[in-house]
Amino acid sequence: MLNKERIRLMTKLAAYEQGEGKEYMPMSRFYRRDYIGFQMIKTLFYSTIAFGILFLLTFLYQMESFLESMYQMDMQEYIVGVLVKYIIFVAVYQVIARFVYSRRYRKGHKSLKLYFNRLKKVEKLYEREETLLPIDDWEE
Amino acid sequence: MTKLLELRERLRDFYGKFEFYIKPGIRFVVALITFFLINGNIGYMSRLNNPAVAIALALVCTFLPINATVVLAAVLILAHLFALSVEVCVVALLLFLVMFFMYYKFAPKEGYGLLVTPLLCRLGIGEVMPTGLGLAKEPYSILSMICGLVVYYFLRGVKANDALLAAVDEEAEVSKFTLALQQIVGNQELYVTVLAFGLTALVIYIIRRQSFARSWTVAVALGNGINLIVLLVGSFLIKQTGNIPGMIVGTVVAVAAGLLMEFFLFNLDYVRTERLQFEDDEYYYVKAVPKVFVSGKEKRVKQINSRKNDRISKKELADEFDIDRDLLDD
Repeated sequence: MLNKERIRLMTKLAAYEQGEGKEYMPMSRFYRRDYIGFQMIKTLFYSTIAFGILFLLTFLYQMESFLESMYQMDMQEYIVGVLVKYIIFVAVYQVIARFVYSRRYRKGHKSLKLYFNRLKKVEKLYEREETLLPIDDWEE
Repeated sequence: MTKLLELRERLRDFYGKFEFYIKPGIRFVVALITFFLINGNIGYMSRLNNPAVAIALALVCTFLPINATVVLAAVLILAHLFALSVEVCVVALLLFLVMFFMYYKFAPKEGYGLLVTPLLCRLGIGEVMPTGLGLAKEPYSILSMICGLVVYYFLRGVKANDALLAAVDEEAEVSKFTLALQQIVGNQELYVTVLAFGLTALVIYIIRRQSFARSWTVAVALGNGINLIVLLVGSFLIKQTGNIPGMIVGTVVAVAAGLLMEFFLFNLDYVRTERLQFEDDEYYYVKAVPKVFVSGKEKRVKQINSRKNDRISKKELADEFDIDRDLLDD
């Protein structure tokens, strides 16, 4: 049986699932801490790759001067310098990721709440329809 | 003004009705311009430098999300640069990868910003970009504009130095890697532009979010003023004053574009037709169209107050009934 109010709600739910909610749906499976932690690990991974490529680019850029001065250079100092830069780079990224993803989680959580409320309403409508149906039959 | 408002309603109506076709249409046009500009400016691989290729690629992009256009454009650029010199191609590839891992992994929806920035820069109206982003987007999308600027200035530098980069010269003083990267690292114009555009987008975003009246107009005016000032001061500092008329023209266009956006964007947001499918016992195929304002044409004003010449004088009445006027005196 078609129920106008239910279809309206279901349309909204489907619109959410296929649009705005797509991004937020996975969040419903995580606790806040787990979600942010997971995203930060992902960020660590990507920022490490990014740093690697940046390092490669700077190396290519200074290749000549680097090859010339390589023998007089203190290798240990050079490596420590690169490591320090790497740690700073990654740390900045972690801070940004924490900020961004906790904001995103808050936002997503809010909109998910609305979604689940609507879902509950649809469920109730189903229940009511089911209990009403026999009476309808009886009336006929 | 009413005419304009009516036009806006009609456009909105049109967009709401044909969104299904307009969106791919826009994608096609953007992709086509992108590929034509790439081919026209750095078309070093003659096999790909062909309008048929550009049209075919753009047609493919029509049916894919905008990020597919970004990827195809990147591949096309890499192919052309490969034909120029392997080193340049490697540098460009690394550059794209850095952008991907540093930024696009986190904000994958910003394809248009990345794509349109170099296009507008090439057309000489790059100033439109910060205005557009500041008015319509979130502040982090500024990063996509910066990526676009880096790509643009890199490719422009490569084009300017293509003879050097293509030459096979083992004795060259600097390697091709260095020369290619020099287009970014040593490009002061890039720094000035990034600073000006970034600042402008941020200022526009902050001001238009304020609640005072006409904040959008103020944002556009002030933001573009700052943009022009920074660009002018910057170009004097780096002693490259050749493009000042271009900057002024670009700013004027940006202001015009900003005002146009203000007119449309405040409400165009509502225009989102949704096509959905879901099921329980039945299958539902729903097209949900948000309510659109009644357009000016459909409004009908019914005049209720009486017409002026409803009142007739005693003389007219007397003439009509063909009686003496004195009879009507009470």
